Amino acid sequence: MIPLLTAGVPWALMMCFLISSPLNSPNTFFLISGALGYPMAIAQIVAAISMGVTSGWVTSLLESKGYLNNQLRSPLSRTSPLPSVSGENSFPAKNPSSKPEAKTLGRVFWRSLCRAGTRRLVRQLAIFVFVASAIKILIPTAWITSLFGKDQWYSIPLAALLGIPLYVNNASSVPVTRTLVEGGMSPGAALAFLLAGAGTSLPAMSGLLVITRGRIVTLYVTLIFLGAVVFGSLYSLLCP
Amino acid sequence: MAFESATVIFKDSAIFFLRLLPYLIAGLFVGAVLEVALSRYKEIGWLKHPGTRAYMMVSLLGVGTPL
Repeated sequence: MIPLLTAGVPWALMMCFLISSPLNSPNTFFLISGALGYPMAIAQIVAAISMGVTSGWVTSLLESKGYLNNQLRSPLSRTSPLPSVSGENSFPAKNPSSKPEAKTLGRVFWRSLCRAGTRRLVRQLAIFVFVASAIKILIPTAWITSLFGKDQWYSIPLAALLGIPLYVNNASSVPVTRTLVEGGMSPGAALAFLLAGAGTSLPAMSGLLVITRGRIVTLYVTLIFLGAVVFGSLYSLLCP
Repeated sequence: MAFESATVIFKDSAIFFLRLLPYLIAGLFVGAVLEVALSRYKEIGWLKHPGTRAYMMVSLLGVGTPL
């Protein structure tokens, strides 16, 4: 990301990537499918892409007005221009020489199975599945329904707000969210919790805070929160 | 009573964990497929032209590759 920023890639495109990337990944999609069902997983992926595109428009507008000048922390600076591209056909073209090969795919899959991050993910999943089961027994469902139930107008903004500090990562939050849904949390509130939480999780925020200044961080958190509330509400309307 | 609750928690956890594990492995496999497939978009020249199409492509890349 840092090479892209220093190469002068517009903030609008960076914001698209920054917002959509932590919101979903193949792991997240399949974990949500397993725990909360395919409609929720599809809603999350649609929300991630829509929020990415919308954030691109909003950031582009603010960038054109000059609100986002000098938002890259020193010693990083956006001095060197992006290498010029000849002709109009500069959108990504498929490179025929780089077709995925079975051997390469097998190696990449094996590497992703063996890496330390995967072992940590499985460990966290096991721990938080246990935590989720404990929550199911220890926390009365009446509490969950009174805070996040379908009838509470504030359930979606509250879930989005709570997702900001409480979300650790998808392996930990997906089992807990499933328990909350079983306990009476509305599906819209669950989606808002997952969206706001994933976008403002510790890895995503720490990366952002190291390289960018206040306006970008404020814009990022605002876009994530508003997107979570809007898509949570839409999901509540479409899948009550 | 406490023993019964603990047994239920452990049993529920084990069943749920074993149910989620295949999904996690499927996610890792699809992640590997996308990593190989998206590696062809390494050139950044096309990022020079922002617009809805570029925003859509960047968002899709973001969703396909975790931060």
